[in-house]
Amino acid sequence: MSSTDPSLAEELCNLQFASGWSDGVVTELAAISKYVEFAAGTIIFTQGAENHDLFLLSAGRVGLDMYVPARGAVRILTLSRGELLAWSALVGDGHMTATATALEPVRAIAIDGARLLDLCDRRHDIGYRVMKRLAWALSHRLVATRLQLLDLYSHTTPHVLQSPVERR
Amino acid sequence: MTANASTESEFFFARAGLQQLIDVLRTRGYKVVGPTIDQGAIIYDEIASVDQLPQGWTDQQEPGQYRLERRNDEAWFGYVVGPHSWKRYLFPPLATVSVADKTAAGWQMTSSPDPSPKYAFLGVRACELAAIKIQDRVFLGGAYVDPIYRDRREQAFVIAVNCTMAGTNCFCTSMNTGPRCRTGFDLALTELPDGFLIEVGSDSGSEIVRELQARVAELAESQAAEQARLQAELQITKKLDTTDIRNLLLTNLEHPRWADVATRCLSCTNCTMVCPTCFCTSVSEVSDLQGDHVERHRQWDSCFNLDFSYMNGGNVRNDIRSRYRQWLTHKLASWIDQFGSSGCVGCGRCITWCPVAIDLTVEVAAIRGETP
Amino acid sequence: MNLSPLMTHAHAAVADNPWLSQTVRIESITAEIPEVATYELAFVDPVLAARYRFLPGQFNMLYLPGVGEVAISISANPNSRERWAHTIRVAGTVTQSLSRLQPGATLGLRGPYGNPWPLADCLGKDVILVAGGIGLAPLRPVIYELLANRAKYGNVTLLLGARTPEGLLYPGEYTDWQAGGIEIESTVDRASSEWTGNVGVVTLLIDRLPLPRPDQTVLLMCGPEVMMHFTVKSARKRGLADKQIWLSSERNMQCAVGLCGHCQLGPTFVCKDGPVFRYDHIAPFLKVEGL
Ligand SMILES: Cc1cc2nc3c(=O)[nH]c(=O)nc-3n(C[C@H](O)[C@H](O)[C@H](O)COP(=O)(O)OP(=O)(O)OC[C@H]3O[C@@H](n4cnc5c(N)ncnc54)[C@H](O)[C@@H]3O)c2cc1C
Ligand code: SF4
Ligand code: SF4
Repeated sequence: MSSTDPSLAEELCNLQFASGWSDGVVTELAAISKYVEFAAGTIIFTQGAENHDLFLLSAGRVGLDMYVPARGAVRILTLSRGELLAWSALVGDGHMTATATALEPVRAIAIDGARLLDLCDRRHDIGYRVMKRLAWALSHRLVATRLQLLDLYSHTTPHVLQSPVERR
Repeated sequence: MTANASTESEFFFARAGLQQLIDVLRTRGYKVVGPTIDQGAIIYDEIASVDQLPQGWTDQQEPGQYRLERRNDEAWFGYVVGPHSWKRYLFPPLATVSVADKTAAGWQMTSSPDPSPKYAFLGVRACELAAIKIQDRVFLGGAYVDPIYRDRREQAFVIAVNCTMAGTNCFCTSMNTGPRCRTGFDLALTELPDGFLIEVGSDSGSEIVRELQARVAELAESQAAEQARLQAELQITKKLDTTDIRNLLLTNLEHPRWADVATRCLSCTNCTMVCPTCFCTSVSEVSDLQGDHVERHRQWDSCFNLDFSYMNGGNVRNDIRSRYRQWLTHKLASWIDQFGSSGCVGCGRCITWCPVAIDLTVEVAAIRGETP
Repeated sequence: MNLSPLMTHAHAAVADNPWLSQTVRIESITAEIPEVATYELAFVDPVLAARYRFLPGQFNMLYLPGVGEVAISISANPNSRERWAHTIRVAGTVTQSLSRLQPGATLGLRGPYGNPWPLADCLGKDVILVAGGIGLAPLRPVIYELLANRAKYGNVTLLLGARTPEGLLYPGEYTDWQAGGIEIESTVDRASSEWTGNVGVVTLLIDRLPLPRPDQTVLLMCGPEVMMHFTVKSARKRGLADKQIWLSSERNMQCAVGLCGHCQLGPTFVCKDGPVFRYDHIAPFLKVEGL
């Protein structure tokens, strides 16, 4: 890490995750976080594996793939700076739902999931903020997924959208 | 050109003069189109003789109902309006807009080969004059002019006939379009028991009057005509409150009334076909067997047709709710943005000819929150 | 004759028949992505050819006699003379027939029609172009104009969305565009894990965009209506006002000159009031289902 890198606390705010939070709260969060780096091509975690860190991307892109038997890996989404990765560490059972690969040199803030949950349990004010952030990120991701599902650029209209019976 | 309503320009001719008027126009090469009875309704068709007029008949109208009845006099123009309007002649239901021929040098396109008949319209009501003025704005008032409409319109001779009675579905007074014919005619007649009072609205109108055995009207005749016209006005009971109607409708696009009317409306298109201002069309290709000679046919269409809003893959207005809403908001609201006036002249045709008696004045009142 | 005063005025203004197509010849056909090809057209009549001009965002009506007529944006450099390009996706009857034609074939053309993109409003501003699928076609003339006068504009970013990597239109030109000073970001809905580009909807690209001066930024977009709807949401979150956002819209068109009634969207006619609209002008109507 070079000396010009922002401190963890600064970066947590820069990345919107903790922006607007009081210094005290940010410091507590920074205390359970660390910078991690992944070389391009590194598999950060694999589908089904256990992972206990929540990642907040600071630089580089990450690809999320799901493995479909007989079809291979299908890329679902790519993530960039400011976006959350591995949220199932926090709200799931710790088993990852997709495989994450660093597409470029990646730097991220890894927040220890167990300690974050513990912090949230102890300090509900922090817990509320963290969960609100998470809910926002997930709802955003959900809308994006729905748009992908709509298959907007498809040349044929999916049948589900066009009822053969005219609505009155 | 505006009609001079002062008594100096009012003339009078006896009943026999009407045939003479038709003859004069025909001699001048006009196809005279006027009211006549066909299949139980008063429609507009080419006529040569006053005998073809609906003499002694009147039309009894209610929402969803139209019936001819005998009058107790022999009036020629003792009815209001029927299923036809003059748009049928100025803006024909079917027209060829262009022709394409395959030549050695490839496709060559030429303008419509359709002739532009020279029409004289006999019996144009005040609301219909207003409708023609609205279609003038649609077809001639913008950057692009419809040549078929223009050619017919430029040649047309318009003989208005003032209403001396009103129908149950008439609401021209709400739309400021009638019942008095004020502008937009060459001649305007008011039918009296023994003849017609004539007002002149243009130079060609006065030219024609000079050929008739017409004399300057007497004061009593002018007064009798005024009385007859007043009678029509007094008979009008239907109202459409147009206060801020543009915003009323365009800010109520999700009003529950649209779903309500959709349960009644059959999307049959009748209202748009009979409306004297509706102008939507679709174009189709008609080719000869070899496919070397192709005509583009333009046909009246309707926003009530499902595929009217078709875009590859689906239709934008997929339900009757959205189609009725399109029609009514266009007619009474967006029209104001687009052409500077309402698209409705209050003729009541859409109410009469709706098979399920939907009445736009009632729908608007409901959206206004005045459901009876 | 008792013509309304409007009539004589309008008659003098335009005596032409707006329904009449002119003969054009297909000069070349370039296959683009699957189902999409670019057709270079030229008027057969040299007088028309010399006179023809268009603005970025305008469209033509292409006519195949016996088959039908379709509205197609002009995808050429606005400075092109004598011939110009249309990029067309095979959708149905007319576009299918068109795809079977060879260079040298003739067809009919009317146009150009519609309002252009607001390039004057972009001068000195940062410009974001958002294109979904074939929606890049009507934006290509803008790109050529921005490249030709690059210094007159601030940062220019092109955000592309497509179904798959193979669906990204004009891939052969991206290097030139980037060299000319246009930042390009693309994303696709579906890809295998070999694809190293972005996956996800195009709105995510807006969320990630560095936007140094949102109040001095203009966004021009064209693509499926749902995509544009969510693009606006993302752009608003990034500080763009609705009046800084422009879109090109689509509705059934038969006449292209406001006489047939088909393309109405609220009080507007897409053909003559659009197809390019400022978002705040059309927003109240665009968001109503089935309008
Ligand atoms: C302003 C404008 C610009 C466009 N620019 C392009 C472009 O650059 N490239 C491109 O590939 N497509 C473009 N389109 C869409 C193109 O017009 C349709 O894909 C095309 O009309 C489909 O015609 P079709 O006969 O092949 O399909 P069919 O499904 O058989 O359609 C039958 C007819 O319906 C009408 N129609 C169907 N879809 C549309 C539609 N989306 N918009 C308008 N009318 C439609 C046409 O008259 C068409 O001939 C544009 C549309 C508009 C309105
Ligand atoms: S909307 Fe109905 S009442 Fe109004 S002009 Fe048309 S037909 Fe007549
Ligand atoms: S309102 Fe009446 S006339 Fe009009 S489409 Fe509906 S059912 Fe037919």
